[in-house]
Amino acid sequence: MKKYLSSKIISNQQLSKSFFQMDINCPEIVKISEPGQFVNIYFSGDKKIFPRPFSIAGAKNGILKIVYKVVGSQTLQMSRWKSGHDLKILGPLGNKFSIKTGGTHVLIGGGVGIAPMLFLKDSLVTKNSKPYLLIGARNKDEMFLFEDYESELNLSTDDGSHGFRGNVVSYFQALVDSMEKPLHVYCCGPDKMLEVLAAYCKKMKFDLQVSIEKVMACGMGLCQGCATKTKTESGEIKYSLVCKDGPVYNAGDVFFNG
Amino acid sequence: MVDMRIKLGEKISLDNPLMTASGTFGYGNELSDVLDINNYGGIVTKSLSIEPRIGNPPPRIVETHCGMINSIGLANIGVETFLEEKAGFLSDYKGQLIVNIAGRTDDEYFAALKRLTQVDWIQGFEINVSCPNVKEGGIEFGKDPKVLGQLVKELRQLTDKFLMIKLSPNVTDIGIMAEKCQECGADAVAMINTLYGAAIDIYSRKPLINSVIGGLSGPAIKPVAIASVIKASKVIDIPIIGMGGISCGQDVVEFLLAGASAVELGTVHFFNPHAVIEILEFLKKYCDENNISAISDLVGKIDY
Ligand SMILES: Cc1cc2nc3c(=O)[nH]c(=O)nc-3n(C[C@H](O)[C@H](O)[C@H](O)COP(=O)(O)OP(=O)(O)OC[C@H]3O[C@@H](n4cnc5c(N)ncnc54)[C@H](O)[C@@H]3O)c2cc1C
Ligand SMILES: Cc1cc2nc3c(=O)[nH]c(=O)nc-3n(C[C@H](O)[C@H](O)[C@H](O)COP(=O)(O)O)c2cc1C
Ligand code: FES
Repeated sequence: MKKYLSSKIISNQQLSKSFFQMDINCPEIVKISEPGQFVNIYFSGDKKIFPRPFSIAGAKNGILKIVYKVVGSQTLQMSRWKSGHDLKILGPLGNKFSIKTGGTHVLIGGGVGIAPMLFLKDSLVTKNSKPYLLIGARNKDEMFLFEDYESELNLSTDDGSHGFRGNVVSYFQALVDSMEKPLHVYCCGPDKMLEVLAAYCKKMKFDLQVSIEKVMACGMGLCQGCATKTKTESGEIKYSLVCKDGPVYNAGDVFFNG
Repeated sequence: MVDMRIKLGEKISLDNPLMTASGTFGYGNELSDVLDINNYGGIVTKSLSIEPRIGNPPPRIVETHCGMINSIGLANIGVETFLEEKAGFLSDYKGQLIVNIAGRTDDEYFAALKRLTQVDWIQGFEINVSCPNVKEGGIEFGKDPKVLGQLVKELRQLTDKFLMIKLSPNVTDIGIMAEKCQECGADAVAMINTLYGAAIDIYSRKPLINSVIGGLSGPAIKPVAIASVIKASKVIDIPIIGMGGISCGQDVVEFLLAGASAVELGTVHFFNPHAVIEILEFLKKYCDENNISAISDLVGKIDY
C-alpha cells in the first residue's frame, strides 16, 4: 500500500559530475519497497507541475536511497536540497522485478539506469546469490563507484576512459562465456540499449526483464498518461500503464518505440 | 461549525462542494491508499463508454507552463467491466457517485445511460459532450446548440436520476450551450472541460503528443474557467459545477463566488494527492474567519 509522506533528506551527495545520491528518512515506504519499484518526488510553486519519478536504489534501515542525474530544472532543484530538507514523497509505486531462482543473475545498468539495479543487487545478495553487476557510462565523468558492493562489479565506458571500452551490452557479450548458465538478465537504461540487449537475449534464449521509462503525470494509475504498447501472452496488442503495470516488463512483451 | 453541505437542485446533496474531475482520479480506488475518499462530497468517474476503448497511442501527455496537455482518447474499461470490477469498492463510498458517460454516436450515449441508470449505487450522470481528443463524438455533440439540445432531451427521457452536462470552453459562447442544457431538462451543467492545446519540440519539430492537438488543463486555465462560470451563471438557474485549474482552497472560493455551486478537482491530483484534505481545511478556516456559517452562502456572491 503506497504512502504519501513528508520526509527528511538525510544526505544528498554528489557522486560524479552530474550524478547525485539522496538518502531519505522514510521507514514507512522502505518497509514495503521491492526492487524495480519507484517513488514520486513532489515540487511546489513551479511552472512545472508534474512530480518526478525515481527508481528506488536502496531501502534499508528506514532509509530510502535514490540515485539521480541532473538533466533539467527539477533534478537541478533537487541537487540543491540540503540534508534536513523536507520533501513530499509517494511510494512505493509500480511493479517489481520477479527474482528467478537458480542460475546466474546478471544486472545491467546503462547510465542512471544503474539505480534500480543497486536495490536489486542488495536484495539478491541477502538471498545469498552473487550477481554480476555491469555498469555502463558514456565516459569517466559519468561513472561513479560504490564502496559497498558485494558482487562482481564490471564497469565499461563508451570511450574507454574507465574499465572496458565499449557499451555495456558488448561488455556483457564479452563476458558471457565465463558466466554459469542459465542466465537471468535484468536491465535498465536508454531504450536503444534495451532494444539491442533484448535482441541479443532473444537470440541466446536468456530470460530478460527490463525497466522502462515514460513521462508520468500521476505515477499511480489516475490519468492513463503513461501508456506504452505491449503484447499480452496471447500475442494481443494492448496499452499498458508503465506506472502501474510496469515499469518492469519481460523484454519480449514491450515495443521499445511504443 | 461551518455547514459545508451543498444542494445541487432537488436530487443531490453533497456533504461538501468538492468532487473529483473525470479522468483525473482513475475509478476511485487508486488514491484510496493515501487518503479517505469519503473526503470528497462527490466522485465523478473516468468517462465510460458502452464498449471498452483502448485510447490513443503514446505520447499522451506533455507538461506545459503551469499545466499539461493530454490526449488520452477516452481510454476506459467499458460499462460492464466497470460494474463488475468497481461495484464492491464504490458502493461503500458514502458520498454521491456520478458516472461520466462518453459516446461516439447518440446510440452509444443512450445504451450506456440505460444500463447505468438501473444501478442503485450510482446517484447521477455527467455527460461528456466536450472531449477534444476523439475523432468522432466527444466535442462534436457539444459545439452545436441544436445537436446538444436534442441529445440532452433524449437523455432526459432515459433517466430520472441527476443528469448534468459537461461543457467545453472551445465554443464561441458557453452561455448559449448552458441555456440549451437547462431548456432541455438537464439538472446541472459542469464546466470546463479542457481547452485546445498543442506543443512542438523545436529540435525534432515533432508535435509533443500523438494527436497533435490535445486538451490543456491545470492552473494555466483557471481564468478561462472562472470567466465561463460567470457567463453561464448570468443566463441559467440550474446549478453549475465549476472546474479548471483548481489547485488550492482560494481557487475553490473564487469558483463559488463566480457562481459555481460545487467544484471538481482535476489535474491537482497529479501534483498534490492530498489536495482535497488541504482544501477542506482552508474552506473551514476561511468561513470561520469571515463569519460565513454555510459555505453555500458564497455561491454567486461576486460583487460587481
Ligand atoms: C519509472 C521511472 C524511474 C526513473 N528513475 C530514475 C532514477 O532512478 N534516476 C534518475 O536520474 N532518473 C530517473 N528517471 C527519470 C527522471 O524522472 C527524469 O530524469 C526527471 O523527471 C527529469 O526531470 P527534470 O525536471 O530535471 O528534467 P526535464 O527537463 O523536465 O526533463 C528531462 C527529461 O526527463 C524526462 N521526464 C521529465 N518529466 C518527467 C516525468 N514527469 N516523468 C518521467 N520522466 C520525465 C523526460 O524524458 C524529459 O525529456 C525515472 C523515470 C521513470 C519513469
Ligand atoms: C489526463 C486527463 C484525463 C481526462 N479525462 C477526461 C474524461 O475522460 N472525461 C471528461 O469528461 N473529462 C476528462 N478530463 C477533463 C477534466 O475532467 C477537467 O475537465 C479538466 O482537466 C479541467 O480541470 P483541471 O484543470 O482541474 O484538470 C481529463 C483531464 C485530464 C488532465
Ligand atoms: S502516470 Fe498517470 S496513469 Fe501512469
